[in-house]
Amino acid sequence: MSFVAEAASSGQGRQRFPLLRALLADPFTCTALILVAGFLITAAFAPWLTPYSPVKIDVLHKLQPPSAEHWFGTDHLGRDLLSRIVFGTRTALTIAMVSVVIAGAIGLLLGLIAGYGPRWLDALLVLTFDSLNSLPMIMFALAIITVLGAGTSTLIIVIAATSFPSYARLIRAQTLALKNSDYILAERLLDAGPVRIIFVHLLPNVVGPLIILLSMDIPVVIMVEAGLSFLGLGVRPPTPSWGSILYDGYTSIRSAPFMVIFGGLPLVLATLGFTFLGEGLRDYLDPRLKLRRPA
Amino acid sequence: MTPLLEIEDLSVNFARGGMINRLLNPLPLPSFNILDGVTLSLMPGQTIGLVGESGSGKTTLARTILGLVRAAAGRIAFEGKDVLTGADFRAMRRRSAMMFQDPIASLSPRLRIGSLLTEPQLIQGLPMADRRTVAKTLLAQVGLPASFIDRFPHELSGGQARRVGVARALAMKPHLLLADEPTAGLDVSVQGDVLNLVGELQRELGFAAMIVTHNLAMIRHVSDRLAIMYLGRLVETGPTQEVFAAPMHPYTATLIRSEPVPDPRQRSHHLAVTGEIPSVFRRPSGCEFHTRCPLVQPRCRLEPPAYRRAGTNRMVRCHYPLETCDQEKEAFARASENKGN
Amino acid sequence: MTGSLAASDLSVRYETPHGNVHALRHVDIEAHPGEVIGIVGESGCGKSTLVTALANLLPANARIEGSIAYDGVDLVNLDAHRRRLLRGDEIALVSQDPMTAFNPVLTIGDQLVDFQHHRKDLDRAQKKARIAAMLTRVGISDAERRMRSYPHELSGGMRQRAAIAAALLTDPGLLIADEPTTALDVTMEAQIIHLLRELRREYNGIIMVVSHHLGVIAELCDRVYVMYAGEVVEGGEVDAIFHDARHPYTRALLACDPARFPERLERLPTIPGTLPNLTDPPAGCIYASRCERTLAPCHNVVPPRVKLSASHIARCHGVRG
Repeated sequence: MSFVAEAASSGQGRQRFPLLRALLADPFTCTALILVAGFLITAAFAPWLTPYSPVKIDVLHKLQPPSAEHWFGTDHLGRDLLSRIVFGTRTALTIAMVSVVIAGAIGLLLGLIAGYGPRWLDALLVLTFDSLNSLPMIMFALAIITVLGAGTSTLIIVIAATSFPSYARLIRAQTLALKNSDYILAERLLDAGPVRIIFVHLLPNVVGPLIILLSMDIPVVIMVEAGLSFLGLGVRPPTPSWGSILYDGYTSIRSAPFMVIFGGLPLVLATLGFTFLGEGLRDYLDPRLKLRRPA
Repeated sequence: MTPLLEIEDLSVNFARGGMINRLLNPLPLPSFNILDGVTLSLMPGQTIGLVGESGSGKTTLARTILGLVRAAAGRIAFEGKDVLTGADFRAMRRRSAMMFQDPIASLSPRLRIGSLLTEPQLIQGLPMADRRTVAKTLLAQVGLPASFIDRFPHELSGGQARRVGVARALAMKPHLLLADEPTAGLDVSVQGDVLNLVGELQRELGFAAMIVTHNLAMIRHVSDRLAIMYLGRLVETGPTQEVFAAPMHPYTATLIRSEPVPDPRQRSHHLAVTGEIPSVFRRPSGCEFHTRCPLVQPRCRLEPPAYRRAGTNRMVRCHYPLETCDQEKEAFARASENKGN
Repeated sequence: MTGSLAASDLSVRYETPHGNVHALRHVDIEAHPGEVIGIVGESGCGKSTLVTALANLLPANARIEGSIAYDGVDLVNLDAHRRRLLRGDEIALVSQDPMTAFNPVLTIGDQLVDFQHHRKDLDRAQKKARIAAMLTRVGISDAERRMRSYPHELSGGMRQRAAIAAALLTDPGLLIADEPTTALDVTMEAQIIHLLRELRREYNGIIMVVSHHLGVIAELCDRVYVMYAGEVVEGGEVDAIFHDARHPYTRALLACDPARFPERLERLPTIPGTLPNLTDPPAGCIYASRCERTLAPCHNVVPPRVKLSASHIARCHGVRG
């Protein structure tokens, strides 16, 4: 199987890191890359970057405006806002990336099976995708939370379960388009089995658009996480999350408006960063789509 | 000697409308014959040219032979044994190979040439000491440098990709090679290269070949026999040189005369055929060529001609086959004068 | 308006990240009203670049040098507006795949009306009448009904006829047919060749047929230019090119065409070697690396344009005028 392994790790041609070079060439994508890298570093080194514990309550110094001691001020329980935002980054990225990767993997597998498998299986899977898609996310979240209780893993399950059907549909459409292509016919003539055709010949050719979609969906998931946490359906306190920071800021918006501003800022930056990165990736992997905004 | 491949009365239908239409429609939907009553045989080591215009069903025939398209009726026998079940088709596919029209599109785009070349052996579980060595041997056999082993299909030119296609087709030492338009899109200076290579390997390995093409100028140099198709039916078969020298079916004559001649001194100023190729969905009554035939008679419009023996090893499907070359020329000249073009 | 076309010392290069591709180098071509000119060559010979340069459709990264004069007007240095006018009115293009020439969601009739937008003197009814007459002229029976059809409802041959009608509606002085029969079946090809031949009898502009197919060129053209790797290597009357070819490439190309041999050949002739790299064209003759009879100067001196007769030229060190 050595050749297959080589094929999988392909992409490096004459230049080293052609992807990175191409991404850095565009100013928007370059900015996005810096932002995303910044968030990843922040999340990874959160304990070393924060001056205070994100959960240490100090009611005497609550709702303090930004100062040299507390750069972003403190919240209604006197916790350091900067530390909470830094740790919130960790929560947001963990939830977003884990749920997107899980949803992407499920979507990829089911999409390939639906696209290449027999017709009845395709019909069954598409019906499943459509039924899941038609569930209102909040209702679904409420139902799951009632059963499993609120928390990080519940949030991941909710997000993965509601977003994989659209990935599966994308992969299915790609697979259907390739299913009758000459090279798949050629492989069938060589007696290649369905497992080999799906994983060696179809997967590498359908996964590109999915990766783009996933990276562009990360900010959406961050927003969903913030939204659900804002509604009290997401991450349980005292775990810091951007959504709960916004909620806390919202309740004391008159006395301490800085909380909403500082709480919203990373959300905006993360959304911009991942979206532009996704667009950069798309332009690199599929230049035909360049300059066309998604509907 | 038993023929390598025998096809008898092979038909392929295409039912219009999808699954939902069929469920909703109480009446059975009409079906259309993409292939109708195709009878053909191929001897070991022989090359047959399957010639026809687009829509003639020649590619469908090739794909039906390999079991990629289901036949509605008819018999296929390979090496003397009937091919009936899926397992039979699989066994037959192991002894045959196909070259596709678009050589780059028929190679899995994310695999390197090395792994593409050794995939057949890998799938069929043949022992291989070292995949790279096997791949290099195959590349050498088709005259490509060993360095191509690490290239991707899209990095090859049309001619190079065809050579890779040949290597991949012949890696398993097949008894039958099906080539679908092996020279489509190639320059004349390169197409000879690919055909010479296939010819050389054929002499060396002894496989039989079926070449599907619309290129008459090329096929007359590479095939032993010709089979001419029109709207899913064979209209004429025979030894290549004989068919070119004295076509019996007016359609064959038309094809030969329509080919542009690369000599300005031999410009022909009358048109061999007018009208369009009908669609298989609206197959003409009687002889399907009667709508365009310059020698059409009343009987042709009503009665479909039988596919019958004409001479020692020729078959023709025509009520009034052309007997000799001179007669053909005269008849054509008269017919086109009458049309007053 | 009909006028002569003359491209002189025309060079086109494409600026790419991997260097400049010299797609066309020092091309001289002339054509006069009433003539059918053939441009023949294999892939990579520059014939499509020549067509796009003449039709003013070169991409943004192309740099053009030399001149293209049409009726005495230099097209290369014309301002954009006038060049566009000239392209619409005077130069018409029939491409290989007529499907791409038509908008799939409009009927043939509507599109052909639009093609005449510059004819301000005609109203819609008059334009439709012209279309019907032109479609009948190119052999489409039942023109009124066909005008209401969408492009996909026509067969390939029919679409190519409609494309020719569309081109002729603008009364062009130069009609470029770029591989007009390549996408068609043999019997349709013969019909289109026949049609083009009939049309030239009453059309008094220039018809330029661009093809890789020697047969199509021989059937249609009065004069032929043979191109190789971005250069015109030989040009002359069609009879001279096919029966008295002097450039080794023309000879090799003719020798490769299986249609020229009625008897079965055991081996088909080929041209060994590959096209030179056009980002760094060789110093001498462009064909030297594949030529069978190279002389001393071939590898480092650009061959002169040798005049063999009034109309026959060849760029080769090995020929004498």
